[in-house]
Amino acid sequence: MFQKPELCRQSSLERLSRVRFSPQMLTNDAVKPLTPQEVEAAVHRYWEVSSGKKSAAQETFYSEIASVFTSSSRRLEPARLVLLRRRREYLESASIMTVNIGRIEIELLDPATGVAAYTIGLHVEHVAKPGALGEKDLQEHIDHARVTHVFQRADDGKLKIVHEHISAPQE
Amino acid sequence: MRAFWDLFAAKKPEQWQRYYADVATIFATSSKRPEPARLVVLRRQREYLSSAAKMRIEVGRVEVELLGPSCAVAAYLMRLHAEQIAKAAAVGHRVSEEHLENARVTQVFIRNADGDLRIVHEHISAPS
Repeated sequence: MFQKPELCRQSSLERLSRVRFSPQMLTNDAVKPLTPQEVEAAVHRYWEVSSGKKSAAQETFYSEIASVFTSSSRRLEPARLVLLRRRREYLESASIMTVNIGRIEIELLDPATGVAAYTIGLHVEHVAKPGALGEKDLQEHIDHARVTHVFQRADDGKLKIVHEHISAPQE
Repeated sequence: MRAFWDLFAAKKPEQWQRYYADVATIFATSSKRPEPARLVVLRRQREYLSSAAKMRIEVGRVEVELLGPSCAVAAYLMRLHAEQIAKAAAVGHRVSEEHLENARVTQVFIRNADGDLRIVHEHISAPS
């Protein structure tokens, strides 16, 4: 785990090159400067889709290269892996999810990138977590789940999550 | 990023706090809302950067995503072992030691007009 630092991933360099050198590929939405209102709307849409258990729609929020720290993960994981797990445990199970979003702090980093930091009250019933003796029916309640979402506008103009960090405050 | 933690472990508060942008927000390990960096910096100075405190920090493999010509996000794990600190625990009493084995860290950087990297958002947490 504690090894020499890794240089930036090839995928991000490739994306930068594409944006820099092929502007004719971009749609009108893709060159529209990002606004705090747009980021805030994306956060609300994301949780509407998630609590509505729309797994296909939830997946479209993530960039292909997105990375995620979930509330319990002990390492950074690719979003595609986290999404598969969430689909099994939350979205395709009998779970009932309630999310209350708190005040969202938004910082725009450049015309295409913004970071949203906020807390949510997350209450889930009937989570299907795998256990040693089969699947367990659990509840999950986090009153002050802390969320960081880094959004970036994709070539098609849509906002995508490129990094997510969700955690519970330490007691 | 490594220079940032080296300065913190070496208790050089003036140089260390310069890494934060004026507008930076932070989720510290126990905070229940995003806080302004200037507030967290003051608290960390009081709790960790006193003359008696001793800290050992190990930064793991760092995943960096370049988001544009002047911004990037770094995500990594770190270990922190701190002794002789004066940290207020959530339950009210004070603790003199802190040991985080698998702290998860997200830091969002931007390059400012002077060409220096600054942290605009930081999220540190322990897995639940």
